[in-house]
Amino acid sequence: MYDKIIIAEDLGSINEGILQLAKKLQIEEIDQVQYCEEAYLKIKKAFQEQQPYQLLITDLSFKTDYRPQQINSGKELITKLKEEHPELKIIAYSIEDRKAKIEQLLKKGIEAYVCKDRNGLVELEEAITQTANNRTYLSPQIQKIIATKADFEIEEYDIYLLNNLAEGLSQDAISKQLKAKNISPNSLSSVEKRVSKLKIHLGAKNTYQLIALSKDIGLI
Amino acid sequence: MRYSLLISLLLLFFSNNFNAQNTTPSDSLNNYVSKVNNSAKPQELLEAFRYFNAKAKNDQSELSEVYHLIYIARIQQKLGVLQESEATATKALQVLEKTASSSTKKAYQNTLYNHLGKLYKETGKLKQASYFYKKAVPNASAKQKAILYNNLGNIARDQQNDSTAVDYYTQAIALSEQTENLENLARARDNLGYLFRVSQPQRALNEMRSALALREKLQLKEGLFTSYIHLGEYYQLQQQQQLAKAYFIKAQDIAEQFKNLKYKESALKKLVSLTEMPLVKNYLRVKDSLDRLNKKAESNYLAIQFQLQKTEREAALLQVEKEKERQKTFLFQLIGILVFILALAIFAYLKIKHRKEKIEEVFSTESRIAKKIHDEVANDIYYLMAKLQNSTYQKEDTLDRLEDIYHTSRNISRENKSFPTQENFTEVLQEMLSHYQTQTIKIITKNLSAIDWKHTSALKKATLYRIIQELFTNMKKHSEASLVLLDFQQKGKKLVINYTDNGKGSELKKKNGLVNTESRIRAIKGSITFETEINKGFKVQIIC
Repeated sequence: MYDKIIIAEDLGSINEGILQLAKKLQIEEIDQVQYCEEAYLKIKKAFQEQQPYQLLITDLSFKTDYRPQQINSGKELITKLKEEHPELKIIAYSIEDRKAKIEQLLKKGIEAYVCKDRNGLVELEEAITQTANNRTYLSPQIQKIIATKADFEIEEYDIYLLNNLAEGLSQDAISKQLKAKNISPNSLSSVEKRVSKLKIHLGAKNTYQLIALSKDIGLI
Repeated sequence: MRYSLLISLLLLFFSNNFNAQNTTPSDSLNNYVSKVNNSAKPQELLEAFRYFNAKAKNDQSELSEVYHLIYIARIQQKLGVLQESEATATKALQVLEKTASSSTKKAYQNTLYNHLGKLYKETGKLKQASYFYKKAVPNASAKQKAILYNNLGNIARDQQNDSTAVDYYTQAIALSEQTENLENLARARDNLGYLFRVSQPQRALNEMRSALALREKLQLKEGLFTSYIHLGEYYQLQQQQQLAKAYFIKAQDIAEQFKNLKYKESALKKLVSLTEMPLVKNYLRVKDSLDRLNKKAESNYLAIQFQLQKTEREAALLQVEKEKERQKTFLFQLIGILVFILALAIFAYLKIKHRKEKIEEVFSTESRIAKKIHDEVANDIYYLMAKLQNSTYQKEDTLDRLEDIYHTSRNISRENKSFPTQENFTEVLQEMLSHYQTQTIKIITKNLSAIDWKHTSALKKATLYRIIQELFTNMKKHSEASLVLLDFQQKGKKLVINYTDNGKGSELKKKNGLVNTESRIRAIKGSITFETEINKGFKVQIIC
């Protein structure tokens, strides 16, 4: 478990929640800051004094106030710190659930991403424990978002299949035709795979519905 | 003296002839014409000059310009600025060149040739003088020819070319006899006789006498004067002082009748020259040189005065030009300022309009968000509070409801948040679409990854993002669709996006959000078309 951590979070109530959690985990030294810049300076100072923080838990969006800041967002803070002190572990704790955003942060090398959610604090506890044991952690819904392909992009090949199915051709006949035209993939199994994939993506229970749906939305 | 006399006679002849061609001269024109012909006073000549110069500038027809130029040339000659006069005459000839051939043109040409001939003779350029006189010959009448031959004869005589002079005089005599013009005949015979006064005294006397007889018969006073002087000189040459004196006295008598001082002076001079007194001879010599000097000074004075006038004229002209230039510049400046003000006004108008639109957009966005918060968040919270007052409500249920509210408010925030335009736009769109993808709503794209967004402006991207978002929000709320196709096509510079869903469709009543899409697409000069019917799905085409 960690001995010295820092929390960058501008909302008092959330800050309080994290603090309680850290105390529960028996972490000795817990620092709290409300600005990215402040977090950065404290971390740098600690490194200079050879008493570095082991973990940073940070939000991504911070309220701006009258003070002009060099570092304005959690993303900037993470980017800078990961470049200068890759050994500092970082947990991002945010309501942000956009895939691209999260993927960018993961690329910077953060150890965990926890979604501020109904189970946020529970997940954060898990994240702290896992990272302390040199593992990474992602909230379950984030895992889902990262795993799913956002949408299905239909190709000319699919349109060709759909058109031939609509013409009444069997998948076997379509496979033969593809071979004759020298279009690949053309094996029966790959045609079958593709058609079943189309059924999934269009939400069709069977080939008939697949054709009907394709016609509805003007694919064929 | 003799020659200038002849010349002035000639001048009179030509100018009279010439005046007749001008059909309706105005009073002032007549006045100035007579001044040019008769006056030798510099002041009057300059006045006339001003008059003709102004006329020549405003002339509409070239012929009338030439007419005025001829007078200007004459004035300049009289003023003694012979080079100017030459230039004016040459210019008149050039102007004349451009006109269609006509009898007037020929008459003017002859007048100008004659004028130039006289000018050159006066300046001693005898060759040129003879050239122009000869040029005048072909188009001249027989009477004029006689005069021209006389003049040519005089030039030849001055060039010591006696035989040529004799030829010209002979021709002049023949022509005068033919036309029975006794005045010219007398002049020619007198000149011929005068030429012979040394070589053939007898013939000279005969010719001069016959000329005298003619002149006496015609009572031509100027002619008589010349004849008397010539005869006097002849007898002086023959050492017959008494006869010479008699003729000079006759000349003096005529000069008395003229009341012309110049004539008087030249007659008296001849008389005095008869005396043998060395003192007188000496005096005459000195006076001659003095006269020459005076004449030179006088013509210099006139020339200077003329130059002065010219400089003043040019200065005035320059002033006028400057004034015109100034007015022109002022006009341009005025136009420039007007254009600038107009541009400024248009700019201000557009800016105000733009600001107004922007403010309206902000207002509508604000009211939309306010409405959403009221409808979706506040209502739910109120509902939850009402439930909580009922103590049977379970903690888990409360948390569930709270989480719903949390998600709702987070979605409102997401919908209205600005998005990063500098990132890969295809991914940004996919990301946005993924939030509408559920177990029951399938979203399919076509060609999205093939679109190159590099050259698409940030504004266009932002607009497309909001419109597509609006379409999908609308779809989620109202359509009950299970499948949506978003088809991207690049057609030249235009991007065509087709949205199709298999939802229940609607009557085409534009809802709040969809109205916004129209104003948004207009801002990037694109178009959006909706196509829907109940139970026939919803189709949208965006072109931008």
